[in-house]
Amino acid sequence: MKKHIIFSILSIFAFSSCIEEPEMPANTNMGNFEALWKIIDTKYCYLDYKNINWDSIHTVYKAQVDTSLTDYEMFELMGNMLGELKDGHVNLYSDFDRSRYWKWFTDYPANFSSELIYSDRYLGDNYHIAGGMRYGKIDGGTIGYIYYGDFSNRFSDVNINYIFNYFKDCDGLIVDVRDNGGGYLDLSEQLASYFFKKDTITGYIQYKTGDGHTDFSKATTVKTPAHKTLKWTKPVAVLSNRMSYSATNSFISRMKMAPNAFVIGDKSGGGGGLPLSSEIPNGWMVRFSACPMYDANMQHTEWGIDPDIKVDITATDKANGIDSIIEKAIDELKK
Amino acid sequence: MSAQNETLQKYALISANDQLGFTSLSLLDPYLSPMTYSGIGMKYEHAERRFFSPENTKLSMEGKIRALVGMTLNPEYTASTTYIGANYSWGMHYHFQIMDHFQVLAGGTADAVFGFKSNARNVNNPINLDMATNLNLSGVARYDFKTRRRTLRLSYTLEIPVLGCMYVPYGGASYYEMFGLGNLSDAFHFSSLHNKLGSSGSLMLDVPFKRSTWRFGINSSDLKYQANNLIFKQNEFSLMIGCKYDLHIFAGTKTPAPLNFISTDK
Repeated sequence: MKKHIIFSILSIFAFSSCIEEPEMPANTNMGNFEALWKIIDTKYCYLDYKNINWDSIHTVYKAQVDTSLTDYEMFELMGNMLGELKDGHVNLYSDFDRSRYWKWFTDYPANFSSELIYSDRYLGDNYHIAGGMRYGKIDGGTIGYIYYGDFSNRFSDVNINYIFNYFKDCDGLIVDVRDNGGGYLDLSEQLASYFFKKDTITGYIQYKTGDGHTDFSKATTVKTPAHKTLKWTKPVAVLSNRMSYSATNSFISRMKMAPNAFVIGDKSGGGGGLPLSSEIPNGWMVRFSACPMYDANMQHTEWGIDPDIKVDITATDKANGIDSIIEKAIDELKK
Repeated sequence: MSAQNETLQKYALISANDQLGFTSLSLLDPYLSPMTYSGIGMKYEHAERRFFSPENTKLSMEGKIRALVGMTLNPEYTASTTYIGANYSWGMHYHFQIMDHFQVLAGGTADAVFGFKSNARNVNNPINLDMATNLNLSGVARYDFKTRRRTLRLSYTLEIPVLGCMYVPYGGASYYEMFGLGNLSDAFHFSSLHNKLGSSGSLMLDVPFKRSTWRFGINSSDLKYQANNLIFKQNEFSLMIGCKYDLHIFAGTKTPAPLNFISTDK
């Protein structure tokens, strides 16, 4: 009896040793560097797509890691390493700084001016606000205009119902998502749903299933459902620029498939990888693209989505208080 | 005559206990973070046991509800994970009277676990669900010993998960895809000793006083499981205090209260 009890207890410990916990690098400059490099190596989803030689980057940056580096110096070094990914969804967060890559919009024309849209020619001072949306009639009351600048600002069906009713006599609608850096994906689906007549496959998404750079799950279809009761059936123009990023990029990707809709302005900023978070031994958090999102043709959306009609705001128009993209959208909606 | 019959009637009492504990908690959830978080929490446990029938005093059933709320921090105190979870188990035990003062209960339980871990700092992976069902081996050892003024009971309870089902997503899968798009494939796993190891043990001392019986003791629970290339860990150590009591439920027409039991509901 005694032997059986001892054997049973030993068995439990023997089984326990079968599940071995992964070893975490030590909280040293080198340990933190290795932990960060490995997180990206095993979890970042675009290493192959972007043709990045992450091993070679390891060699280059590891040579610069030294025990004498201060927290600021280590942060800058690791931030620079992450910058090689050229991804706006990749950041390193510490208590004193946040690394970022912003060239996806700083290297391009702004194509947006809040001074212009809040001028009397467009929204003026007497616009309405419902949920996260600012709206009013423009072009002599013939076109409805909504500016939605943040997909983290929620709106409801009731908000949209009021807005659509307000615009019921308009010939068309402009949904301006320029300078909208993203937010919640469910809101991009909800906003797009008002412009679809039937449920439509508008994209795909994958996630990583292993540490290898090509270990991905089977693609899951992303459907944009047609809203059951609220529908805008007249023409709609979606305005985009390089700062239309992440969830906004997803909204634009969906709207490319919507009937009676066209995208106008500049190519969107991208941000097609749904970001997740992790952390390194010193407690700094890293955000990185983990799940690649594709358009309806299974094409990556990481670098942005081309508009149907490419328009830039010209310096002359801007000087004259004219938003070239809105004006072109009005022309197209009235065709 | 009727009253006399009722005094001879046997009733299977429900032996219940309620306990509250202060818990030291350690969590490793690689879906949220590769780091082990540690902190403190509060644990509550309610258990009820009774014999299947008053005539058969060898086989008893037990129902147990456990809840734990905890707050943990990463080693550098830069991020926190909150844990809120509950567990309901039901099981049966056979009673072996080894000696006059020593009893062993052996049997099994089935339980269901539901909880969530929330890392406030994370972006699209701020929450991970803790969902599982288990079939457990379960045993209790009870030893009664007399002191000058009262008889104390020392009991040790051990529970080991053997078979079950658990929810473990891929580390790279987002909750948007799982719950927004409904792709839950590869998230539910069969569990057994090859991928889930754990034990939960309690050492309790029951001390009867004039009007109540109090329980004091410790509870230690260790759990480790793996799926989808992720290894999870949850260790708890609790100092428990509570009380135990016996009760019987008289309800409906089948089991009315005997006449010598006076209810305020009459």
